[in-house]
Amino acid sequence: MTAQQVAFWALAVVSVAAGVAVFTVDSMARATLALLVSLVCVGLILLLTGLTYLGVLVILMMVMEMMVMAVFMVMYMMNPGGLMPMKMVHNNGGAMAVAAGVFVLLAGGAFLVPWPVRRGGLPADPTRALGVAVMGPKMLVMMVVGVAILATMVATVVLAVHRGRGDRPGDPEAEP
Amino acid sequence: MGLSERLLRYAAGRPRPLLAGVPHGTRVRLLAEAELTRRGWPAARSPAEADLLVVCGSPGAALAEAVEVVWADMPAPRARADLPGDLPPERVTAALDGAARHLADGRAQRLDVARRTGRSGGDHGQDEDHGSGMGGPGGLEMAGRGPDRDGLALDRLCLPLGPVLPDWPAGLLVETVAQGDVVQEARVEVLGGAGEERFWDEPWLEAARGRSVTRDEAARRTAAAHLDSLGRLLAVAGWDAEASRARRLRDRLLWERAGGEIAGDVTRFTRRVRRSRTLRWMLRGLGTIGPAPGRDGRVRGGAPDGPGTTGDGSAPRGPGTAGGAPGPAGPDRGDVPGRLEGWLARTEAALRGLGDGTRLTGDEGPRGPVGGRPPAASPAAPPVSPVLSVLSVMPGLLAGAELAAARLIIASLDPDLDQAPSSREAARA
Amino acid sequence: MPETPPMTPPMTPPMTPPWTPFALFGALAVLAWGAAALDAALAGGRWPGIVTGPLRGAARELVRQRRRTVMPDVPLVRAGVCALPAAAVLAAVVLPLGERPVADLSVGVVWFNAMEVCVWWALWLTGWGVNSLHPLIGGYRFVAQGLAYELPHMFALITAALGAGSLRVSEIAAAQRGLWFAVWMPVAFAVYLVSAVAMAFWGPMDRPVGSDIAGGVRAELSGPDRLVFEAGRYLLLAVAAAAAVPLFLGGGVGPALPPWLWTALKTVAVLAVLVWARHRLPGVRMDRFTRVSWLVLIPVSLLQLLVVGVVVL
Repeated sequence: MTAQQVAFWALAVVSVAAGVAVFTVDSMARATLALLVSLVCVGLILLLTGLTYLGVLVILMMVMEMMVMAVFMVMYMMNPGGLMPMKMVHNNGGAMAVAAGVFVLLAGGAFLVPWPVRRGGLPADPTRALGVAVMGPKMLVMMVVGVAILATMVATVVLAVHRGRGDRPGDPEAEP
Repeated sequence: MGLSERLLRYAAGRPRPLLAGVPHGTRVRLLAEAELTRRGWPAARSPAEADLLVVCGSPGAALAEAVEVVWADMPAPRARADLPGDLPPERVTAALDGAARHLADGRAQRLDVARRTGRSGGDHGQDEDHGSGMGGPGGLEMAGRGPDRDGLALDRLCLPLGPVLPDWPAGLLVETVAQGDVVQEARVEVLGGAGEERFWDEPWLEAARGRSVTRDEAARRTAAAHLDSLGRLLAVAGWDAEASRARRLRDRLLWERAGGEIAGDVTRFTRRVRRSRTLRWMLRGLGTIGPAPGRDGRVRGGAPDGPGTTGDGSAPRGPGTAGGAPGPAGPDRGDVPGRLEGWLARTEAALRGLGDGTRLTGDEGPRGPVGGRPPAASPAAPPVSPVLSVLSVMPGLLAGAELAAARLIIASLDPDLDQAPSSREAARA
Repeated sequence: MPETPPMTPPMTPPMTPPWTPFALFGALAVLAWGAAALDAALAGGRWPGIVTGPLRGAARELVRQRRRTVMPDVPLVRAGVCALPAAAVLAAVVLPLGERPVADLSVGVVWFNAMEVCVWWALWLTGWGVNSLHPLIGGYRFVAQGLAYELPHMFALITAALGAGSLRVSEIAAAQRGLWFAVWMPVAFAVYLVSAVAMAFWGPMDRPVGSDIAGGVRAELSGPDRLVFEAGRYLLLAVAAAAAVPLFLGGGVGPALPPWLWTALKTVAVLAVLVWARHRLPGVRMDRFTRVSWLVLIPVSLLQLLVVGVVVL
């Protein structure tokens, strides 16, 4: 086995184990951290396949998203501090059936899909190649849409917090 | 001598002291702070960070209990210096030296650890008497739920502030009920200390007793009191550099008998603080004491049925400021920057009296009338102590404030609990 | 679909001498120590206390007990505390020590960003795990701070990358042979400096570990935990300063002196500015800063990005 294969299997095992841990640990903080570990391992596997940009991007996004998710999970769970051990699984039978079904579907897909055969070598800059492949000639449109989405997000938040916790009488910062 | 012994000694050359202030221990606290600055021992922010506990004053039973909790929270190696309120200045240095020696003493520290582990380490959870919680694992108090101001039901928990915190009025305990870091309710208590001394009011009290006190002395005490408050507020606002500058100026005024040349340094300090746009941006709108002032433009400290006036016709304490004219009792009207500006202006005004050798008359201490004698205007009405009116507005100002804002509001009120009657509870909201 | 010419495969890092990781770590340690010493000097400390202070502090934590809180989540605390220096050092591997970094990743800028957001987790886990109120509030304060500074920060990084047409940090540095990016994209540079202070929770942006919440995240740490945390904090500050050099200040480019020395000098200069800012400015709270960050910093950094994009085209 090459070093790459060893790394792949190690990451794959850690990823699955961390995924299992999400449902066996007894606090939201640990569960979210376990999910993060699992997803970071997936990002590292992408790095192994040479998709540097995608791999690092997955790590970056997952670190941030899981952080935000942890905050929300803790907020919604009526278990302040994660002190009371809590069960992470409910409706075991139904969940098992759904999980098995999804697994069979995905695994079947992986085996049945006619995978393309590589033509030529690796591009010099896979990041660029990927961007061109995904967006093609619509690059400008995509960039503008991206900025528009960001502006929408900021505007939505600003409007939403208008009557939020920052809006206290006598607080000039909260004036619109 | 083993490696850890060497490390212990090396580290003991620069301990991190945690100061526990006690009412009527202001003089000792100021002496200790000046000495710690001189030695370059940086103050700790929490018991876990500290290895030297400096108790400034003689705490009463409730405060002593709180100090014991802090002492139990400090990991070994640790040392403790108890400075009673009446300790002569030269003994402060000796007490700190003794504590540093104890810190470097490997044998004593090992004994300390052995003694603590012998007591099964159950040092925690001694102050679990605030209500509104259900029993949780480990005897911990769990958060209950309560309505939020946005109409949601959110977890709420008890968050006691004080009495041992850095940059915190000595003896103050604010029991808050918080949702997240937003204070919903606050209850103020005073944990007293033994003694009678009221350091900041001393010149006026002495003068009222008929002793000869110069105006120079009173001017120093006034400026130093405001610089002490400024140091606290700036430290809580996260401006350590200017906070320590204020404290050094305070120490020079009090202990080094600095003369007229200090006025220039104070002016440079006040100019820097006034010019900081960031500071104004962060402070403005916080802790506004409402538009319901008493007849002389001041708040009657949540005691609207109090006596109509306590004005005794003495000279105003300083130029009128953004925070409204400072007057005899109670905190300045306006917001936190208003009170900050009030302190700055009054410090500058007080410094103009430096070197005035004439005899002090009047009753107007740094925080209002010191109550050395009944006000001339209405001798029948008992004077309201400034500290009581401050403590009574505090809970109302804290409700709805974030923790950072709450700390700033408390620092901007900076009650001097040496003035408070040693009651366990002063106000409730 | 345009043809992509077959070329050398990626992921073959250019050869770097085997001692570079040690040089990187040594340089970061010296910078961190220097930052602590400069901070003490600006706070009015005296020689030699300012230099020995960090060493005495380290010795103190080595012989100290750990503080035991009630029912802590110890694995999470350890993970959080150790993640802080780890994230700082991992972020630094893409920064050139002169001309070559330890690992010259083709997406170095994104890597730097990914490692640096791990600090969010480091602080939140530490604050959460010790099960004490002040650290918990500190941890959440940093998450809020992260949401405030991260978007302008990303746009500043991307602006530098766009100016050079590459995500590789050494190529960004090399693209500034004529003119420093700090000169012709000053807004991005300023935004980077602000966000660097925020990401290192340093100086005016140190409210997550502020003294108003008794030291915040680190309030209950003592012994080795505190040592690792504080070391990580200063390492992160050093890395945040060091990253400004290849991204905006021309990297190792400069007359007469060798590139590594120029890199070191520029890093020290940026670090000194960041340390000085702590003494010059009061604390900045996120309940006020977020508004400015989202309504001012994001639009101006987007405008800067647009200007740079037009110039590059």
